[in-house]
Amino acid sequence: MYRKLIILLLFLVICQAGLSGQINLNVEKTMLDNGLTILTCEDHTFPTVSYQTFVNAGSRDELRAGASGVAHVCEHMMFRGTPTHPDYNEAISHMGPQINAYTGQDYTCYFINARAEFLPEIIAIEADRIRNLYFTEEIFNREMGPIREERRRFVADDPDGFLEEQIYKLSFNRHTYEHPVIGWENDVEKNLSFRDANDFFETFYAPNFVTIIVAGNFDTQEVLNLIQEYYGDWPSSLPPVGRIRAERDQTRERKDIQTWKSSEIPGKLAIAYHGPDLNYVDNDILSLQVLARLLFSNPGRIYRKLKDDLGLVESISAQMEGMKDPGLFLIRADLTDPAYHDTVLQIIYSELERVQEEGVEERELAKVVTSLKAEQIYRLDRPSRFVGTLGYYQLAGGDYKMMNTYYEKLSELRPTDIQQAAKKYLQKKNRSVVGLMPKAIDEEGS
Amino acid sequence: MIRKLIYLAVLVLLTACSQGSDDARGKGDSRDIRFIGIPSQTTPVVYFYVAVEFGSTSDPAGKEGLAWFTANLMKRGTESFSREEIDQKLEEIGGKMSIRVDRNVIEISGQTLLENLDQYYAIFSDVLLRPIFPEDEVPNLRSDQEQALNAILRDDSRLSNAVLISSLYGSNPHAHPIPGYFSTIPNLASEDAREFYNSHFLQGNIISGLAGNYSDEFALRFQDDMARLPSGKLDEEKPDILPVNNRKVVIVQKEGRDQAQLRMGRIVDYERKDSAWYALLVANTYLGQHRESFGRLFQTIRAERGMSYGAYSYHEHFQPGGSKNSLPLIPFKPQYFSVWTYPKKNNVEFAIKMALFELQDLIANGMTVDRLEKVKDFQINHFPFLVETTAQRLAMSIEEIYYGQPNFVENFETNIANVSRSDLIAALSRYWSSDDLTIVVVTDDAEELKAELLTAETALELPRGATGEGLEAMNERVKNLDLKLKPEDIIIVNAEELFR
Repeated sequence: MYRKLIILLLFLVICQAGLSGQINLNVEKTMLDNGLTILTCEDHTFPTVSYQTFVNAGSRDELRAGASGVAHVCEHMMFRGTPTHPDYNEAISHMGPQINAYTGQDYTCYFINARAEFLPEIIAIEADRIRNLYFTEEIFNREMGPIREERRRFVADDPDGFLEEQIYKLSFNRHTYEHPVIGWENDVEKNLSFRDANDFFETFYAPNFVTIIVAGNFDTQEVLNLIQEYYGDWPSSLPPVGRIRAERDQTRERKDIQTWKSSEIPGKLAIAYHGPDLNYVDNDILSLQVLARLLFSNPGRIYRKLKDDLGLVESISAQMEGMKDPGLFLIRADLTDPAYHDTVLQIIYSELERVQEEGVEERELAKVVTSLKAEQIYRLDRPSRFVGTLGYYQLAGGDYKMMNTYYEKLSELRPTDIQQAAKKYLQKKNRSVVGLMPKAIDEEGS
Repeated sequence: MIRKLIYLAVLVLLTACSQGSDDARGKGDSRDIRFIGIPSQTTPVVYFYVAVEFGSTSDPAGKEGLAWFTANLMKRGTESFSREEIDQKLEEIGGKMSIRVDRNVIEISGQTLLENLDQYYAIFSDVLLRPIFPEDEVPNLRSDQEQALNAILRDDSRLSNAVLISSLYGSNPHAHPIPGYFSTIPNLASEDAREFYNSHFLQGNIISGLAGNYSDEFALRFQDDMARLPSGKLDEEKPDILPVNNRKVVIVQKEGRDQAQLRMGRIVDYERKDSAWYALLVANTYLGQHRESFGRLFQTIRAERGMSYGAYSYHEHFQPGGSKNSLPLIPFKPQYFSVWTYPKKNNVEFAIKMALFELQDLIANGMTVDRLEKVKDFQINHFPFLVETTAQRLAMSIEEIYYGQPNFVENFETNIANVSRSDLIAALSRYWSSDDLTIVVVTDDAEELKAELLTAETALELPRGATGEGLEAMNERVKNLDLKLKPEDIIIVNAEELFR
């Protein structure tokens, strides 16, 4: 039998009346004896359900050299059938579902959205595929073909994908965040073995690493009974061998300039500062998330200056990634001309210094806070969207209730929080910079 | 069943459109405007949607890109707000407003929290009703427009589709990219935008709507304001185009590619109103439903052979909308059918043949009754995702009016359920063809590919695990498919010379 650890009604401070009222997003947390965690959010205003299986392992957990990308390989394998359902698509397509999966650095998610009446069938099929997956060498070898093509499409032929790979590589020396989710080219093309994939799957695709989140139109008790029936005797796995090495404090600025393989791009920049992990114990990560928006999104200070006033960039954006371990405050810019590389960097640095010295205005902060809170409300428009958010907080932050905390703490932020976080993290020695320049025209075809 | 899913009341106030006049632009307030309201109290959000029934196909020759320029300049200055004020105020209240220009539609849409409705609407209505087309915003906007064009050039997937469209539509106004050409963008002036706005933003050409948590009073106010636009309706003559008669290949030469982007397509002359549309939706689902792994193309190209990350087909124009479904309201007339995949360079020819083989087989044999029922089940049960949210229901209702199908949502299930195997085969043989297709490939060795396409040999490099039963024999059959290409059927263009 499952035991209910917590039954908690999650009251978001959002509501029928708007930002200051309340709306009830009823989340119930349950854990089976084998360690499987279940979050349910029953809501009869939707005709659909979203059933999402989160595996608490991503590229962060790829410890063996030569096996980068193995978490993503497991994601692909999950669509290859079981003895009961040799063709996964055949088993589910009549339901007309939205299905897909994604692998991140911290976790992997499989989602299936469908009409509510199919939920019992979905539970049976999803339990079957994660427990009884065909995991053969032949399938592994065949699936590596599309994975290699995926890498070509999103990294080898995509300057943005390539730049992202380079900035992580430069920023991290010890932590597994160094390597890309899809894996290094050599690993994907040559090194990754069936055994790597099988070992990873055996370790992490077990109830003690899995959280199921269900939202939409269903009866909670019925769903919990079904999950108990289909997952209840699924055995737990042993803890993984090895440990993830913490990144040491960076002590000096790192720089790299790469040349893209053609002249089609006008130059790109990525600037990364090491930031905090995802936690709301203090205001650091929230402050940096707000600052990224305040400066780099339209109509933020740096956005307007670099794009509208000076025309030095085609686009610019920034985000503070909230991850299990300390992530990056990452700025990306597409230059209008490669010659603007140094000027753009200098303007960004000087604006960041201005924040460190002068802080931000109360009015600027209030605008961003309102916008971020509004976006949170907009995300409540369908089950699949808010399940994604719940899953993010549960897996990356360790507690889905952080979704609430985020909303509440946004209102508490003060300009001094932003200034302090900027001073603490956005320092030169803590910075890595990668420029991606176009191939010179006269080199084309050489 | 579908009707039950659309559980919120839909209020359509559809008034008869004026027949237009010599001067299509009237004085306003005569209520030619079409309005749809979808009230919902579930969240404190109000959604806006205004569709103008013109887009880039209305760009005058030599001023390609004008629709894009006009619509985007509208948001850069109004009688009451400068561009900066618009952006700042939207951020201040957490409002969203977007402008999308398509071939036959300009869409102005947005959302706001109920508590900021008045502030938001002051901006939204000013952008729509009182734009001033500020001269000082023109240089920045032209620069953004060139960047929008560059974005297509730099993304091989978008580029291959743009080249397919321009190859299929030839001299038809659908052919040019929505942002125009690099040579025409500098010609676009504030005065051109004002003229385009004055001649196209007429009540009879506008479908407007609200959804979400708004009051009856606000709905009336919104309609009153929309009625301030001049009355009248503009009917533009669009030139006919000739269908593609031969198999043609356009190879786009682009440096430094590890992978090729492959598109194939042909013009088709069915519309949503035709019963064949439903049969061909079903046929397409079977052949290559977007981003689903059960389609024949996905199965044969990716799942069995591991030679591409994806392989899909589209029975009409498709634009990814943030999920696996298309954006709403992206009409083409006439429509085109297409296939998309992106294999390793060495496998391009085989991928072309594999896709043609599957298409031929479908056209010749259709599918089994059992398979047909499963595919229909998919479409029927998938449809709720097109009307899952309040905003989607509004967009779908606007589509119903645009396409002249007031009961599209209500009748969808029945229309799909009624597709028989004989309907399917009849529609396939009438509208689809594996011969009269234009093939577009973006790759970095165009001459080599051209030579390969003209030889009898077909290369194929598969991953180690691609050893399914009967696969080798099938590969030989596919390799032996004759592309029937002559040197003059294959055109090579340089990516850098496109859109000039």
